[in-house]
Amino acid sequence: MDWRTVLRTGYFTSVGSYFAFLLLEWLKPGFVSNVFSPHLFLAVAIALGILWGWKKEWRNEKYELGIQVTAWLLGYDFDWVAWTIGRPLEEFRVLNNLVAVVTPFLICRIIQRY
Amino acid sequence: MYQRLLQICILLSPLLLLLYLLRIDINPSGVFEIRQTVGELSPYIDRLLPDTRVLGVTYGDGGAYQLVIGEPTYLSIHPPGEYETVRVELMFQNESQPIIEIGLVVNEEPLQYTLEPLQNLVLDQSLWPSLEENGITLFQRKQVYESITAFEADPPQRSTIATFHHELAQPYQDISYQPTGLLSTVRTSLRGYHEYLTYIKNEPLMLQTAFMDMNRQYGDDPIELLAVNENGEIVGSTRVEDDGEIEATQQGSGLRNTSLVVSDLPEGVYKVIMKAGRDIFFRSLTTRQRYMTFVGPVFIGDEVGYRETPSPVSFLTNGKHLSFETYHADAAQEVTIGSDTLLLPEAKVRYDHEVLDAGLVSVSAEAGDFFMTGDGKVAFMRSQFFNPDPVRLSSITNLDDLGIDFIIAEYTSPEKVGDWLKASAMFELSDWLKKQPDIKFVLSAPNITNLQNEIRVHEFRLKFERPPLDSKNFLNKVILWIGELF
Repeated sequence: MDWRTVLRTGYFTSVGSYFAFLLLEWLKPGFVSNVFSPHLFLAVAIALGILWGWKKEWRNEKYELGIQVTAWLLGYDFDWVAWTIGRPLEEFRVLNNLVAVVTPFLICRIIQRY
Repeated sequence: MYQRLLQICILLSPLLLLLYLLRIDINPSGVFEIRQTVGELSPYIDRLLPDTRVLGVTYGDGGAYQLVIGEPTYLSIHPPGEYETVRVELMFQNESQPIIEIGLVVNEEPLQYTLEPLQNLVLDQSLWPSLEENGITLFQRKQVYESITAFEADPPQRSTIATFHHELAQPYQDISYQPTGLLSTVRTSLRGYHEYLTYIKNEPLMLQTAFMDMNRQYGDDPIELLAVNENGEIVGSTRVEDDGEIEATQQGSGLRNTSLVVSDLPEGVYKVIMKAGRDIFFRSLTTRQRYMTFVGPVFIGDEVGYRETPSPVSFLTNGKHLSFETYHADAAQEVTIGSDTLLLPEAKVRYDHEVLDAGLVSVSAEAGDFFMTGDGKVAFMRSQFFNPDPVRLSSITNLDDLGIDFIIAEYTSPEKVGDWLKASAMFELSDWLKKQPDIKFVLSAPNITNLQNEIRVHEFRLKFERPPLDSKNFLNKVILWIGELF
């Protein structure tokens, strides 16, 4: 069994599902979230992504792409969370959001270097 | 081989999940049940509010509960789709609160709800002999009737009957009634929609109104005056169109008049509905009828743009559970209610008041501009007050003082389940409610604060129902569902 391929399939399916179920949730509020959180797909994607990059020899161009996609997804989530709970920061809210968006990219960069 | 199979399973799993969610959302069975024990999170049921009337979650031997110490409290529900009916079941403990009711909010502005009983300790602990038929119970001080059918066929005097969530089968008749033939005029400003009851016997129904369209909100403001008989049938109507100004100019239209006259009506109680928006201020109501008794909310209008100095307001009510709200900050004032007073210091805040005086009490204020809801009727002259309805059993009804010998109730006592009492109420969801993203319930416990009582609320269970879908309807529903997304 080629676990790298299985993990990659799992990773991209989770990422695709995350987008699809988020879109459904946005179009019909409560459709997904009344049963489970659509963010569970992101958690699964991160877990599978970590497993996929566990062995250095498994890392290739597709893995790099996966890291980038994860960074974008986390950036979107962090941005939403920072914007929602950052209201009291007033004029620092925009700066706070910038930090929230950039942080996942920095983390992914560190992972790629490691 | 296994790897391919595993990959196919992974790829199919979101699709299966989507079908599962679709099945939950469309729900072909037509039945959807939700339950929430207090303290638990539910996507469909919010917690009981406000916090000033409901204390935090406590964990006892029988499980979690919250103490309700004020009223009303509100429960917001996010329905899982469009359903015809909802049954609400409450698990609770109550030792001394006389009446607990639950209501469905059917209109937010003004706040209107339909109440159903959950528990009535007055009836549960009554020592009077009782009869039960088809969910209706008759309590008699002394056994007079052998059955409820016999009671309905030959009822006693209305003044000796108290009802609880039950309408008497026999219509009201006032044998001693004689028409006055005289005109009487109410000169209190009434704002927007109102309803009043009157009695007709060998006379035409007559109402003349002088009104102003104050143009404070955008939109046209037609007026309809409707006469409705006891069967709910419209027996006469008149309509006046808007003054032609639909913008919110804040400029009053000047006094206009309209009247409703309906002749040849059989003897009985009639309801007159004054259907109008909040821009319409009825400045005077003239009638030839003896009685003009208002039911439902009463909105005493301000007199800005009508009189330079607002005139004092006074009326009478038999309500014992009143709520007042004013909409303008400069209308903060004190209202005298019987031997008591109530301060309305803030605008857009509801102030509740329990009337402890018996019978009809007078309510007066130095100026208008307040909205009053209550559990009784209102008249602007003592001679115009009549009550065609029997006494409604409330937490403070004194059966001996009122000479009540019979209580007829549509009520079933709560069932004991473990440490808790279980009571339920069924509500029909109107077309308007079906379209709402949220529906709201009111938990009413009249006088709970004054009596220093408490209710331990443990769990809510809701059962939504509508006819089940067959396979053809299910497919149509799926297509509609996809269409609704975009």
